[in-house]
Amino acid sequence: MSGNGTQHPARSVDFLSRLHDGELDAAERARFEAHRTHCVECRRAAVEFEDAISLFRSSRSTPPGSDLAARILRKVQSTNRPRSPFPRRFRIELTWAALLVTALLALLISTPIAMRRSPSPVPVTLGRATANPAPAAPPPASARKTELGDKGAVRRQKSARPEPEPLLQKRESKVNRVAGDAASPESQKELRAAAEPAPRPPESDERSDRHRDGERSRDKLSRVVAESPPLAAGGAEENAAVAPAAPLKLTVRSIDGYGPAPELLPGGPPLVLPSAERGREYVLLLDSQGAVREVRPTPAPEELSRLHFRAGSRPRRVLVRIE
Amino acid sequence: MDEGPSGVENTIAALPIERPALEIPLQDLSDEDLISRAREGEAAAFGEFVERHMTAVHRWMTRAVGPEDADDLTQDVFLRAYRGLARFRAQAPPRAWLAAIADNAIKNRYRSRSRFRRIFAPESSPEGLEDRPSRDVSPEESAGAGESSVTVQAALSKLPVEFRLPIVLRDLEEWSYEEIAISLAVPIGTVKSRIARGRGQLRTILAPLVASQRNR
Repeated sequence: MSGNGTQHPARSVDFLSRLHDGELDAAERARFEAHRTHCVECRRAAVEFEDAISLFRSSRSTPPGSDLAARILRKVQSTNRPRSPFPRRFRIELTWAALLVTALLALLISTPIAMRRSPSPVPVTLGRATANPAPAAPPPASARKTELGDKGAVRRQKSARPEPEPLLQKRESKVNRVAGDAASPESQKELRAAAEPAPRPPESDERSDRHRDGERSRDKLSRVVAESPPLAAGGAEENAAVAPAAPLKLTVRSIDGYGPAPELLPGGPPLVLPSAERGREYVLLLDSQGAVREVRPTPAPEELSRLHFRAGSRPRRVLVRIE
Repeated sequence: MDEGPSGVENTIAALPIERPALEIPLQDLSDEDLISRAREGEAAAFGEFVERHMTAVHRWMTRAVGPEDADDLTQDVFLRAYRGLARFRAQAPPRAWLAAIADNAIKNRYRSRSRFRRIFAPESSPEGLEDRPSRDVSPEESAGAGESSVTVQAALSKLPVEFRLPIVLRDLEEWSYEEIAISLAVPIGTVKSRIARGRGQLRTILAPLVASQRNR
């Protein structure tokens, strides 16, 4: 006889507990009753188990203090209100919370878009020779190396390292300086005028226009444009954010060893370059008529291929630096 | 509200016009309704709930932790219940919900006490789960003095903490195994096993007292 098949009932608390609860089935109970009649240990264990539980049940419990309920309620009233759902708990107005979340989402979405447009177009100033050129950011070391030794393309430069002034002056065959400070009232007027999108004339007309403009003013070659066509639909706010950028300046140098660089002719359509182009250099291959045949490296701004230089006796190679 | 229908309300009830339902006294509301009202901020409803269950909770606590701490833990249980009113889902009877809170309160009590002993009295029992009886009374002395309750309390305090409330609920409160299992969120087999082992330990602890009473 065993309580759970392997253990003697007197030593199995599970069996005794089930016996106490009356959870033994009829067969188990009959077997145990038959066993108990001649097993002293089981009889004693069963009686002790029942007596212990009876004693436990008969023990009295001290009643709660008379003021316990009052103390509990005082404590409850002094504590916070029951935890309500999140908005009520923190007294958040759902309407204002929704507005705030919407505003944050709009900010999160618009920021990357604005960042993507950050290479915003900046007015470009084309250089004209001056006696004492203003200190300009010199080309980076890699550009100098290309200019002196490598005949290949000039790589794009992301950072400009300062160069000693005399070296810069020696290498620059001509510094074209153009009036056209974007901060001046005149330039501001030009900026506003150029902000109006206008149909681009064909190339031939463009060249003749450039010649006419060149005759009108050699020293005032700047083409200041407020925005580029892709950004024209961007909205007033974006244009306003773009306009205050400092104008870019093109510096042209000869790198083919055939004397000074040909003069950059003024005129033509407004020249617009993304601000990200600042500090970059491109090599322009010119034909003998002064037209740009190739720009390296690629991709290069389309505007560079529309530049026009004074005609010469042979094809030339010049380095254009955007500053 | 608690005083029952007043004379004015009786007059209104006699009028043959449509009238709002009269307020039901809190004493007539079910536990679930009291909790629902308390959740909406009606303090009197929670007061009625406390009055209804305070004696039982205090009884559990007296058995499980001793009369010295019973008041504090009873207060703790109702405070936790009040803070957790929003989480009551009425899937179990309110007294089972209270038992679950009580079980947690008891375990937390002994957990912190065990931590305290580990830090400040490392020579004490390694389990840290046994409570020291407030008075070290031998069963013979208790039997002689007729204070079986003290001895029973001392015996309970020697049980592991996870056995205490199940035994109290089963053998003193006569709850079903199913309800205990729901309250303590453990399988019913675990409840039966804990209760059986707890009873076995109680038998061993109380054996001298049982023998002395039998010989009397």
